[in-house]
Amino acid sequence: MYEIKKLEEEWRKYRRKKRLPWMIAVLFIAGSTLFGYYWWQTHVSLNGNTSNVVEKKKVPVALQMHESSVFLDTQIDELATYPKKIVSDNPLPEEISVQPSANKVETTSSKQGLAIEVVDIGKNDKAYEEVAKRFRLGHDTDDSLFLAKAYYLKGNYKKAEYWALQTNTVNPDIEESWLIFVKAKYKQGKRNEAIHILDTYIRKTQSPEGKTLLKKIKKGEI
Amino acid sequence: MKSRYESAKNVFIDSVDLEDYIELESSQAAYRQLEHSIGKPLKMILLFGRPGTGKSILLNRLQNKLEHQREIHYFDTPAVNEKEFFQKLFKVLTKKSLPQNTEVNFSALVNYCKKLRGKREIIIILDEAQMYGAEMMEKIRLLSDSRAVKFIVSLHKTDDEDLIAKEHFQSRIWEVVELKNASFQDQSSYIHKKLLKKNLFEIANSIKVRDLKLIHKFTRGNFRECNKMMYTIFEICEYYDKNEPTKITYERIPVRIIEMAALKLGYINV
Repeated sequence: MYEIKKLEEEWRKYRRKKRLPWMIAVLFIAGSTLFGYYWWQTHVSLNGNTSNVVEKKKVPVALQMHESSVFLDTQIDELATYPKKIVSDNPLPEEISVQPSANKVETTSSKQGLAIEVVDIGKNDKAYEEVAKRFRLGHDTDDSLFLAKAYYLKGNYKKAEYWALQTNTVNPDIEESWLIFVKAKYKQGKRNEAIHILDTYIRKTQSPEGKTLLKKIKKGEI
Repeated sequence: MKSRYESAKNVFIDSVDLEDYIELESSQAAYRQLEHSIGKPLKMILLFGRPGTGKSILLNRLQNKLEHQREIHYFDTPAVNEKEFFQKLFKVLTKKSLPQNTEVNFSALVNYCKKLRGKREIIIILDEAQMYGAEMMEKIRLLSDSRAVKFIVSLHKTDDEDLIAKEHFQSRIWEVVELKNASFQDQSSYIHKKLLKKNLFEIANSIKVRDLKLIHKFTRGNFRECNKMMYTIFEICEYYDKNEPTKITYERIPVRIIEMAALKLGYINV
C-alpha cells in the first residue's frame, strides 16, 4: 500500500464532490429563505405598512382638526385667531377629515401667536350643517360664532345674523358676536337698525371695537 | 510487528476453497435445489448467475458432499479445445487414459454412454460453461441424451451469455437454478462469519451496520467484489496501523477507509 497518500488526496476530492450537492442544496434553501423573507418584507409587509402609513396620515389630520384646525376661507386672516376648541372633541365628519392636503394653508395668528391650520372647506355645506347640528346638541357658542363668521365671510348675511343672534342668546357677553350681528344687519341694508343696536351695545359696554365699527358704518366704509 | 489487520486481510483472499465456505441462507437454498434436481431424471441442470455470486464454490461443495454417494466429477476449468475436453471425458467414463497420439471418436463415445444406461449414472459438473462453443455444447447435449451422463452446467449470467443460455439450453427440459447477488443480511453474515471463522472477533465487531450497508452498496452484494473490498479495507487499515496509528481506532472501521477502498477499486470516482 504505497499509494496511500494519493488515495487520501483522492478521498478528499471525493468528499468535496460528495458534499457539493448538499452545499448547493443548503445554499439554495438559504437563498430561497432569504428571498422569501425579502419578498414578504417588500410585498406582504409593505402592504401592511402602507395601510399604516395611510392611517398615520389620517390620524394627524384628524387630530389637527380636533385640536386646532379651523375650516375657513384662507383669505380671512382675522379668523386665524379663532379659538382652537371651536371644533369640539366630537369626531368630525369623515368628509372633513379627508380633505386634500393641497388645500391646506398654514397661517400664523398675529394676535394670539397661535399657529392655526386653516383648511378651506369651500362649498361644502354639509360641514356647516354638521357644526350647526352639533351646536343644537351642545349649545357651544364656539360653534355658533364660527358659523356666524363663516357665513358673513361667504356673504350669506342672513345666516350670519342668525348665528350671531344664536351666539348672543347663549352668551350675551361675546363682543365679536355682537359686531358680526351689526355688520350683517348693515350688509342687508338695515343701516339704521344696525346703528341703533350698536349704539345700545356701546352704551352698555363702552367697547372701543364697537365705537370704531360705528364710525365705519356712519362713514359707509364697511 | 505484525498488524492485526493482516490476518483479517488474508481472510478475504478470493479463492474457491471449501474450508472457506460460508453457509448462508441463499446458498443453502440453492444447494438444496441442486441436490434435489440431481435426484430427478434430468439430463442437464443449469446453474447460472452473475459472476461472483458463488456458483463455483457451490458446485465445489456439491461435488465434495456427494462424491462418496455418487459418481460425480467436477470440471472446474474449461478445456482449451474439444480434443482435450473429450480426452478428459473419456478418462472419466472409461476410467482409463486415452493412449498417446489418439483422439476420441465422438460417435463411439455416444454409443459407449448408451451402453452405460441403467448401469452407471455419472454426474459431470461443468463450471464456466460459457467458455464452451455452441458446437461443443451440442455434443454435450447428445451425450446427455444417453441418460447415462448427467451434466450440471454453470454459466455466467451476462447479457450475451444469457442469450446463449436461452438459445442452447432453454429448448431442452432442464432444471434451472439461479444464484443472485447477496442481500444485505446475507452479505453481512458472510463478512462476520468469515472473520469469526478465523477467530477475529474484535475486528468483526469493529465493522458496524453502517459500514456493512456502505460495503453492500458498493459491492452490490457480489461476493467476489465483497472479498476484494474487504481485502482492500484491511490492507489500508494495516498500513495505518503500522505507519500512522493515530488515523485508526480499533473500535470501528472509519468510513473514510471504506470510501478509500471503494475509490481504489473504482466503485466510486472523483
